[in-house]
Amino acid sequence: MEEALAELLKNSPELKPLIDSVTANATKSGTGNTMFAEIYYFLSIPLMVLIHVGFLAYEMGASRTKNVLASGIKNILAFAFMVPTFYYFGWFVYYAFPTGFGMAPGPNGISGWEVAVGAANPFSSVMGPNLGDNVTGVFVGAFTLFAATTASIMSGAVIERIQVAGFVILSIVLGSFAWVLGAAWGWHADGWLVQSWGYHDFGAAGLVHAVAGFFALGVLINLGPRIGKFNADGSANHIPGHNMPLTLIGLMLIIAGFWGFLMACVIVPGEAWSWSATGWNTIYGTPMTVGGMTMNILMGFAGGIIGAWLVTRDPFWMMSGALGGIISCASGLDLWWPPMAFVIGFIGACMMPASYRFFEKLGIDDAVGAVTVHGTLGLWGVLAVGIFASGYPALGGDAGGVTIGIVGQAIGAVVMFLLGFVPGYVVSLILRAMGLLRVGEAAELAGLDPTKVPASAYPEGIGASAAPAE
Amino acid sequence: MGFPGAEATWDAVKGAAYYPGAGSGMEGMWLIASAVLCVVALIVGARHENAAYRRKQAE
Repeated sequence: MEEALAELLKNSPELKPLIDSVTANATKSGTGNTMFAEIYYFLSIPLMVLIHVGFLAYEMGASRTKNVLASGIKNILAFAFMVPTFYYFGWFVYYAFPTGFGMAPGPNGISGWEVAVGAANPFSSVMGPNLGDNVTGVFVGAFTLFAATTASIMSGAVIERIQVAGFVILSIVLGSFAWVLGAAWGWHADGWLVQSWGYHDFGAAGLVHAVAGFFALGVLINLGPRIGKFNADGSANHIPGHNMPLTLIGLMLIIAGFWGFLMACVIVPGEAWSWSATGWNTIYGTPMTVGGMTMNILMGFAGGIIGAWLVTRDPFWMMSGALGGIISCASGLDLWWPPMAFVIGFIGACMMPASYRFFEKLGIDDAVGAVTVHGTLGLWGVLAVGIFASGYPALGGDAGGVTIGIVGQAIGAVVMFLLGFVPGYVVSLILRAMGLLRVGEAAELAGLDPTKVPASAYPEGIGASAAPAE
Repeated sequence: MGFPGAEATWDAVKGAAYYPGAGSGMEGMWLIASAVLCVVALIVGARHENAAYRRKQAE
């Protein structure tokens, strides 16, 4: 391993700060230097692609027949634009800003301007084929899929009336900047939220789900509701999608994909950059087991479905509850005792109808309940760790360090809300002023597919939508 | 661009120096080209989309 690092340093002297840190860590942890880690994270990527298969099916099913393909195009493009933009600057943001906008190096030596320029700018020698480094590209790939997930979360909320170009710009801001900043601050061992406040968000309930959910809320305020959603007296109409079974299958695929997402939240042992030679860790260096995480994901999933069934009897909300149950548990999936994960997921799912009605009463037309499922339940997931896991060490290492607490989790929740809502609101306001946010009224009434898509979802016809979704 | 070694053999290849453009300053050109293509696609896409909305409005 020393020879490989020496060779890498010889060929890529700009990586010296990172290599020094890795060498120190490797000495501390011991290293097997197998290919297991690369394969582990590599396989998380196609699993995470299932999230996007799911969102594609889910949103097309939730659209009326006149908008099916337009909704699909939006999803496909969000994914595609995320890949190059995350490569250009998203990965850099993650390494540059953990300690704040000053880009000072953090206590673990794995962040700051020097590290970001050396190891995470597109011109770095590890940002492409490099015989001395087999893993950086896999990490970039996994993070790119996290980024694309945030865009897909926002995507469902805005279907049937947003312009594609405006949506792509919003996706880039969210996926390649806003959530990455949240990750740098709260999902990085050098992050200031972690170092100063003990913020704990293992499965990204706050920094992915809440950020994306409240980004969507900011956009929805400027985008406005679909025509026909609200009556003159302010009461709301339900606008059903054209294919509920497709939506349900999509939601199940999203959940399948989230196993890849959560799998990639783990730091495997035995590599030069691992926290430990033998034990599995969180991104914060705290110990965990994949077995415990597995039981907790399943329990949160089950609690979410059963809770949603109890309060709605609606299959759409039951499957959303499955996702919501996992999100409710996500921040502490490394910590919970499984029955507790079930209860936390159950409580989260029971919150969904009230949260959805609250936003609807404010005039927000969230077509798939994304603000509720990801935003509200994301914040619940963050706060649940503060309520039920206070006092646990927030970082690996010696006693006496910062601990998890309700204050730190509450601060983290506020930060994640603002990191989503503010850029979502401001950028969509600018796009609206530029005429790039909302489709024309005639196009919305006629349908986006016949207006701009050179293909037909159902060329042999399908039952027409009913009023008020004409 | 092209293979960086004096002889066409992989034996002496180390690190990142084997991929096309490395060390020649060409990475920037490809990076900019890819970014420009993204921007162009977005602009053309927005124009196509808005033209479609205007046509529908005029019908």
